[in-house]
Amino acid sequence: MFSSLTPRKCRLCSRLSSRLKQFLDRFIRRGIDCHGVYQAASENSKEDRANSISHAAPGCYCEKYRMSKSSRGVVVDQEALSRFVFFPMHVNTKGDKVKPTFFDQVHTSGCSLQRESIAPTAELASFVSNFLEGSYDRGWIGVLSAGCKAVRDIRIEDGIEQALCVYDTAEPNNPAHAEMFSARRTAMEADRGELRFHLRAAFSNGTIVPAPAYRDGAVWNHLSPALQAVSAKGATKLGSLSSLQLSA
Amino acid sequence: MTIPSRLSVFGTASAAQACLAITLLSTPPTISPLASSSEQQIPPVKKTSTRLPLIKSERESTSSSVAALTDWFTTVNAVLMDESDRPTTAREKLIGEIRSWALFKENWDGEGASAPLASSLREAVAFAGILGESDLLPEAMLFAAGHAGLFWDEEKLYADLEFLGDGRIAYFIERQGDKHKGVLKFDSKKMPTVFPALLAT
Repeated sequence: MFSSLTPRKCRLCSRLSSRLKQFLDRFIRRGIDCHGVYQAASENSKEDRANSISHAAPGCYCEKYRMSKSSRGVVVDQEALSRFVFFPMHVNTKGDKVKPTFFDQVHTSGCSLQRESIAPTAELASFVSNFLEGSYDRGWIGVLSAGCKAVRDIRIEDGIEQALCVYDTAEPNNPAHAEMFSARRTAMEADRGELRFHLRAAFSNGTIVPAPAYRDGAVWNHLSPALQAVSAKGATKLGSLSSLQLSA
Repeated sequence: MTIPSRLSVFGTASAAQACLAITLLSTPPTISPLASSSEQQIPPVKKTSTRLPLIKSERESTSSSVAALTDWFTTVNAVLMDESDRPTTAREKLIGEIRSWALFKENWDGEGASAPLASSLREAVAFAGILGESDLLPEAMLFAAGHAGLFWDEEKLYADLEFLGDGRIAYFIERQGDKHKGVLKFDSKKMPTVFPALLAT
């Protein structure tokens, strides 16, 4: 009986410890433990990560600090950020631009990004391979890029409050990993559409650089022929995920 | 609906022709012997139910003719042929795409997305159905929260509609620099008054 309770208890202890540390950091060190914020958010459900971070570290506080032990440093405004397109559902009928839904996860689990200036080609190829591994309903379609400053400069209704935060959320096998989240806790429904519009504009107006053309084909050439075939298949079946889903 | 009036404009016919027509049409069609006893038989009444009202009115009119009825069948057949042979319209494709999402399950995007919300899909389908014939058709989209959406990405129009599944639409529309956004009620029957002007191309 006790053995079944132990993991839950430990998880609870971890959360309490994390919260206590945040509390102490806030009032004694006059700061926020950004490692702790990230860890706590990772323990929450995927859907609640954005809210968890914006609640614990309002005003994009943790942009100035490393959030992960694997970090290579905070994401600076001058950096270029890339977001990889894997799902045909996210691409328009013509196949040249993403739909606004491509950025919808800034309100929930966060949008994954790659930091162009520190991401070696081999690391990106490994990221793509890991993401596609064992799945039949996706392929690497292409990449969208934006300047970090353009993302951080996005405002809702020309307000003064930053609408999106870009955090350094490096992972052990992908140190160039970063994420963007909605800065507001539980963004208003009417604001979400505007945020998607601004994000799409910041990311080259939604225009996709095809996977084989990204970095002059360097990442594409790192992929196995099998993954290249899967990706090519995904790209030609744009807009018809239903057939891919059903066959998976 | 137009058939009886069409028939009445045809000239008189002989009594024999009229009787023949009535006899032919009021007799329920017989079904050929069934291939097997387990095969479900189509009740004859079903085959004739659509014809009877016309025939009743026909009986009252002595001016009907076999030629007129033949003409009617030809017309109906032509319409039916047109219905079955015509290509699927862009609007029907759009609606079909949205409806197909009902098959998706949780985590359809591999990143923890919620299963599509049936009420939201219905609202999006209803909205697509009442768009004006001259309106530019949008593209369909599915949000991670399971909501269906429609969007336009044209030179002079950008619009993002999210169907919240509770009879409301969250919208953001940008037209030549002017931005409009909000949440409004949608009863699935009538186009909200704000959209025709904002979505006009």
